[in-house]
Amino acid sequence: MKRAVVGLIAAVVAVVGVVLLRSELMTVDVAQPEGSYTDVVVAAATVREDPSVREEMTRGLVSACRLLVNADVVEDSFLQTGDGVFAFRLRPGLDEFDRRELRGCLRDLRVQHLLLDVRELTTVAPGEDAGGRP
Amino acid sequence: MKKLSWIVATVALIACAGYLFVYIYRWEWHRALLVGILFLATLVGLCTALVLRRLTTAAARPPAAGDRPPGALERLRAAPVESKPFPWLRPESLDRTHIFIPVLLGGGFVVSGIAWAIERVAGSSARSGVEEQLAADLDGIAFPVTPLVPTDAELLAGGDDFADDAALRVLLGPAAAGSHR
Repeated sequence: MKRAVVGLIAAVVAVVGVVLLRSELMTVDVAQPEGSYTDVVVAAATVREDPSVREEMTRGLVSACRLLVNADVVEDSFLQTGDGVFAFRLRPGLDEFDRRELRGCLRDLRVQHLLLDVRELTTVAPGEDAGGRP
Repeated sequence: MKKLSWIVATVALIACAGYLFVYIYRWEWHRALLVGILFLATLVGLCTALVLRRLTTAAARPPAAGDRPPGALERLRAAPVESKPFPWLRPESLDRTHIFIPVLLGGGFVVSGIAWAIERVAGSSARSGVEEQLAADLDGIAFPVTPLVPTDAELLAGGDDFADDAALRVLLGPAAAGSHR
């Protein structure tokens, strides 16, 4: 009886986990309006690295991650807005599923000794202010 | 201490599984790979420890009476009893219908032999007449005795210099006649 209960709980947890993963890992292309863009703000921290190379490492990670979502970094949009805080703009704008993928890629440990925290990731359509940011 | 080790290993396994799920959920594949390796290592370690514990328990247990391997007498007694073949041929069963079965089997054998003999006789008597009829039928579509096209020598012999030689055409036959220009 005890084993049956444990097995039932494990089965329920597994099913719920699979359902959650299925909904979160969906890759559906949602067409974005012409001229839309995505603004990204990240905070970078390095571990056992010179802070002077932080921007270079961040640029490398952004270059790798934007390939996953088929978007380009707008020229001269990569700016340092604070100590270790960088902002850049991607075109075309990313849909919900691409934003998830990009957020995961930026927070992942793709570049050794670089930790990135995504502070803002917003897609803006033309004629729409950024007030509706998630 | 041993119990603490089990608790730590179990907690590590659950934590690894949880983080694996979270990292996959958040699209952080590299972190998920690292935690997945840790999860597998913990799982293998736990399973190995479980098996070793079970083996140690079995080895440390004193042998009970029921664990003794059976002796020769027990094996003989446990063996299936030898069956007696052809029970219907036993004298006490002769007056019953069981005898019908061997009769049926034997009758089938005899009937099969008779059918085989009939088939052989019929085949051997019919074969000669059938072969003769077939040869007569094939004669109608056989190749002609004379060649269908003249040979190189016949072509040379029936050339321009002797084209009008009737005797030569008779000698060469109908195949060479077709090559006349």
